[in-house]
Amino acid sequence: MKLTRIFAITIITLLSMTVITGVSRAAGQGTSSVAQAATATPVSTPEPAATPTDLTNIHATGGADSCMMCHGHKQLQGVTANLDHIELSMSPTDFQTSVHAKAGLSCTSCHANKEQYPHSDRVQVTCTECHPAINSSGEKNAPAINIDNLPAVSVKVPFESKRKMVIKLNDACRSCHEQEFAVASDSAHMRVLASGNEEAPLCVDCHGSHNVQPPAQPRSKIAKTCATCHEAVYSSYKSSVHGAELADGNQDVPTCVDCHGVHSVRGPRDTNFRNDSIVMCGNCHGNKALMSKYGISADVFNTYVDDFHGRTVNLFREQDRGISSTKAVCFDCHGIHNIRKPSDPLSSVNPANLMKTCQQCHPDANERFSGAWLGHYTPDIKNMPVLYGVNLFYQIVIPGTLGFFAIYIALDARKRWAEKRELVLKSLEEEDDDNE
Amino acid sequence: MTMNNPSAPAPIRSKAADEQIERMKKHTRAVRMRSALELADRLRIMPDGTRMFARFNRAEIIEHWVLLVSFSTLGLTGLLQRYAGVYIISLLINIVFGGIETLRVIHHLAAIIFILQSIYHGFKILYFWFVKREMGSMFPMFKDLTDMIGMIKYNAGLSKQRPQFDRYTVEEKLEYWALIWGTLVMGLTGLMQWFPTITTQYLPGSAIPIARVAHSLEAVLAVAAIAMWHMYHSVVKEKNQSIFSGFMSEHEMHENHPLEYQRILAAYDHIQKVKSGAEARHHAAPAVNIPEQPVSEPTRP
Repeated sequence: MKLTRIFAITIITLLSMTVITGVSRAAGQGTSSVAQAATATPVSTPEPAATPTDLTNIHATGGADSCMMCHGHKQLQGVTANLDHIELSMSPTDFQTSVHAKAGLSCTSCHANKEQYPHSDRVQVTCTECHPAINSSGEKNAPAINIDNLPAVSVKVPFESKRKMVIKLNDACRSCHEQEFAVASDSAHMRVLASGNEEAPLCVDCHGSHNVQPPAQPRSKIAKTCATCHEAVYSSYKSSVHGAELADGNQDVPTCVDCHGVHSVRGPRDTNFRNDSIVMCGNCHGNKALMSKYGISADVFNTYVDDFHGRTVNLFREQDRGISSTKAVCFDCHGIHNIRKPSDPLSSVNPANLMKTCQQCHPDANERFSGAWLGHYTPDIKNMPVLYGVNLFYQIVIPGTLGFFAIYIALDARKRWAEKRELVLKSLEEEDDDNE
Repeated sequence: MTMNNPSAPAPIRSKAADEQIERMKKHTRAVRMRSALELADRLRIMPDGTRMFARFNRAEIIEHWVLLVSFSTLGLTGLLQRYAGVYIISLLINIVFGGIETLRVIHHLAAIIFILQSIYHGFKILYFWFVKREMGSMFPMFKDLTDMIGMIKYNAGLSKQRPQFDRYTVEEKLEYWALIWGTLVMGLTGLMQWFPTITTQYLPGSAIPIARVAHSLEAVLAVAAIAMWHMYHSVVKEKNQSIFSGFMSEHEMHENHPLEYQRILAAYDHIQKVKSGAEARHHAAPAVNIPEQPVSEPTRP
């Protein structure tokens, strides 16, 4: 379909060229053989644009098609004030395969201020730049030209730099994706932008601009997108237990956005990120159904929160006052992006490396010190006999002692009450006797 | 010694030995007199004629205050930590104490005070044992066991005889030893958790979680014991204010510490006699030896 159209256009171009001006530069090149093969087909006029995404219909009026009149030119370039080079041309297929095209959007849905040509901001290209013969033959008889054979055209772009232009154009996303845009405005990325770093990622840096595809298809693409900037983090994630499983197609493991948020991207130094991280890990690692698939204990969160570190961090989290706890959270021991199975000799919680891990916070820790951590086990008679014994001792001694106290006190109180009552009765009797 | 040989005739003692024996007699007499004076000094006769008994001196009153404040602080801040998993408790920690870290600082400060107080008390015991050569009236005796059984029997109506107590009742002695036990357990396990790296230089790592469990459970026992036992016997049963005022009424003394009551009265009478004797001698001029009278009891049981 697409091809036939291109052929038709080429034929029309050729025909008009032979009729009106004779030889033009475009006529002699490449397309002649195709044109000759296609001349047999009788084509009178170009088909009107069938769909709004038909970008190749040159000189059509309005819609995306007219944009492609110029922007289909492969050597249409822009230059910003600081001489940044901008590719103003685009391949029609780029946009046609995007979710936006499928949803029926056109160029001006995003480039809203570019509805007319010349674009309202300034006159960019004059007719003669594309139609050099127009002066001799008059405007009405302007010769058709092959867009592919046009000379390079360079226009001034009213932006200081390329990045500044992207930042401005990125605002267009807001008109439809208001909510996501608002969430993203509060993200770590946008704060980087606000601090003056223009390299901070915008919508289009992650989602693409013209060829926007549905997100997370496949899921493994997410980490690769983040890797564009966070290369070092990605390489460590790739080798982690989560990253390796993700590469194998496992859909359960977390990727970047599961921990850091999608549009809300939170920096690790953000308020409460550290305190909240325990719940972040706990969401999956406390899920019995999910963990049983991999033979991992789902008690890890509970045992952590029962212990000194977890209790403290959890209180900080509940208080939610923007103060990060200094006590160890999951990733302090297990690693951040490089999390590995504890059985992995490279894991920071592998028994061989545990002392070193403890020493991060407890510099004086020795080999025995790491034994203070029960490894997320609920202590029972097998793994902690002494602790079990101490527990048992108090299970007996506390109710035993308090029970004894209660009985003793009850007896004492009863006796005292009885003695007082006797006194009262006696004195009452005496009074009665006196009265008689 | 040759003196103990029954078959031998009365030994001929040297003058030096005689002098030594005289000195020892004098010393023993002085010691007895001193404790009699101390005991008698505890009976104070008020202007209106009522008799009050000095029970605790200023140092002991301060000791109790320090203990009261630090123990309550430790108990409160500790139990809040134990039950911090409960949402209301965590809210309380946040609002009243400004967070768990502040709460821990308060707990540690109170612990330091408590430990210093315990060390002071330890030295006091050593002073009693090795300087004053007294056992101390809190020393556990076999009588305490029989007294406790006797109290239960009496209260249960199985016996008409109420056990007679000396300076401390059996309930007070039990309280004291429970406190000693609690202080040792809580202090040790608390310090183990406070300084885990030092602990594991001498003990296996599992000592830390064990200390944690023991500290947590002993805390419940200690606080509950104080709340039940101490509160009942010193506040509910009778408002015993002697630890704050330092004094006890004659009625209370007679009721709860009859043996000590009698000892004090005996010592008081003896001292009065000695005093009047000395006065008489003073007026009569010729020096007479003070008759050696039996002082109620040379040492406290």
